[in-house]
Amino acid sequence: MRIENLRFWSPWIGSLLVGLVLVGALPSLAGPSRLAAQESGDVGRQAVITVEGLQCPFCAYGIQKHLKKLPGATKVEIELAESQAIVSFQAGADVSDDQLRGAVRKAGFTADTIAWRSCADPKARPCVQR
Amino acid sequence: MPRCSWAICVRLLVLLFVLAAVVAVARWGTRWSVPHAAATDAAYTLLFTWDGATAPGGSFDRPIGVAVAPSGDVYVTDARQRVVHLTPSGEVLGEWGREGEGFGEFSNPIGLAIGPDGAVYVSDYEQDRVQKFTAAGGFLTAFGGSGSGPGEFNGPAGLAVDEAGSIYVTDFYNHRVQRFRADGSFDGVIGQPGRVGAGALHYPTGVAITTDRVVIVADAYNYQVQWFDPRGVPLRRAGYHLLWIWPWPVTSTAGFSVPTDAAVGPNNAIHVADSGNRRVVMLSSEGAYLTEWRVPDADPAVYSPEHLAVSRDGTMVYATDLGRDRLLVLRATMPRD
Repeated sequence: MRIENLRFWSPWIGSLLVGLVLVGALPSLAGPSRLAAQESGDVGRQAVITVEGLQCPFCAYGIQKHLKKLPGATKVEIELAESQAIVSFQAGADVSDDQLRGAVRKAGFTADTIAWRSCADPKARPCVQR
Repeated sequence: MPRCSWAICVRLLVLLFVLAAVVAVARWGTRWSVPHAAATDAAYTLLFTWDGATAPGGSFDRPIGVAVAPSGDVYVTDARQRVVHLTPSGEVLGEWGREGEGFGEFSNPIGLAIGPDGAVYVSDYEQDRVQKFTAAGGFLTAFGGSGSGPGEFNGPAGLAVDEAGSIYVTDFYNHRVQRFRADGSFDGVIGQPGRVGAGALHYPTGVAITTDRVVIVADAYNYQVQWFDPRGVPLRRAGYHLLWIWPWPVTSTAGFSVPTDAAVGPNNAIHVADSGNRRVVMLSSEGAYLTEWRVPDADPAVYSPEHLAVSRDGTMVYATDLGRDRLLVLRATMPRD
């Protein structure tokens, strides 16, 4: 390759490299909950999903049914009074907010907020089915 | 006399067109709002609330399914993954079921129906199957499976069995009702997914069969009740209100808000669980409003009642109240002819 050609390509190659680094970093930037989960991965974790308008038991059980299918889910509880679905995952389960939102969407609803906590958190429900 | 300018004339024409369209939609939409029967003495009276406290596994925990046997015995499913068997007076005779995927085990038993021979059918919302038991809880057979093909379910909810022994299952997430022969083999589909048009179903949750095999479907999220003939041809509907093109729950007596079940008595009077309005509505066999009864002290966070059952003589109606962990026992007074 001639020197003139290298001069032409070098800015493009530099931009490409910077782009690749950014793309590689995106998942960690977009997924703080995933990082938090990995930190508490030893004991499992729990997602508390708020779903608006959750008054119909058939719909609530539908959300439960779809959330149970997520990889690593050990338990799903529905709290109609609080319009919440509480999903527990085994240690090391790698589930994102998007997956949770997708499961709720499949059940015909929209997830409002999602809060994560470790199964070791004193506020957490028991993470395994008794 | 001032002359009509071009711009004003066009605006007037558009306004007239819009008005005509609104009137046309309103007239068409009200065709299947719930008509009112002439004043009658039909009524509901609350007789008892049962909490199942003497059941071996503990009192009712979010009861959702109910059925009445030809003998008058009452069966209830709840979140303890079981079927509770009660006498007509509410004494607990026994229970069966536990968490699991084997025969006689459940993950979420929701629907209940009794066959003409007294067999008990239970739908499992999570396991996408229906199990058949003897009246005392002995396992007989099971059918179904997850999917959207013939004979498969995605959230089997309400059940009904006709006099010939055919089983009808509302398939919640597949937006249809499926019929099975007494041996559990697939026999056909009633309704199709949709929001608009006769026969379109949107998250159906309950089903009932009249003595002449007319199928009545609680089409919960189309906010209506639909009638089909035994071949599945749509006959009639009630509850869809004025804005048919944008269905919305109705709180007046002219419509429903998430009707989750229907039950039919021997005189073909229809009882509807209008759960979003927390009431039971009685309709004539033609679908005309007769009377209603509101659930007392209903949990504001939970629609109620979920499912209904009616005694063989038509005088008693049983309604599950999941939010309050109880079964409501009503006396139904039929209108005099």
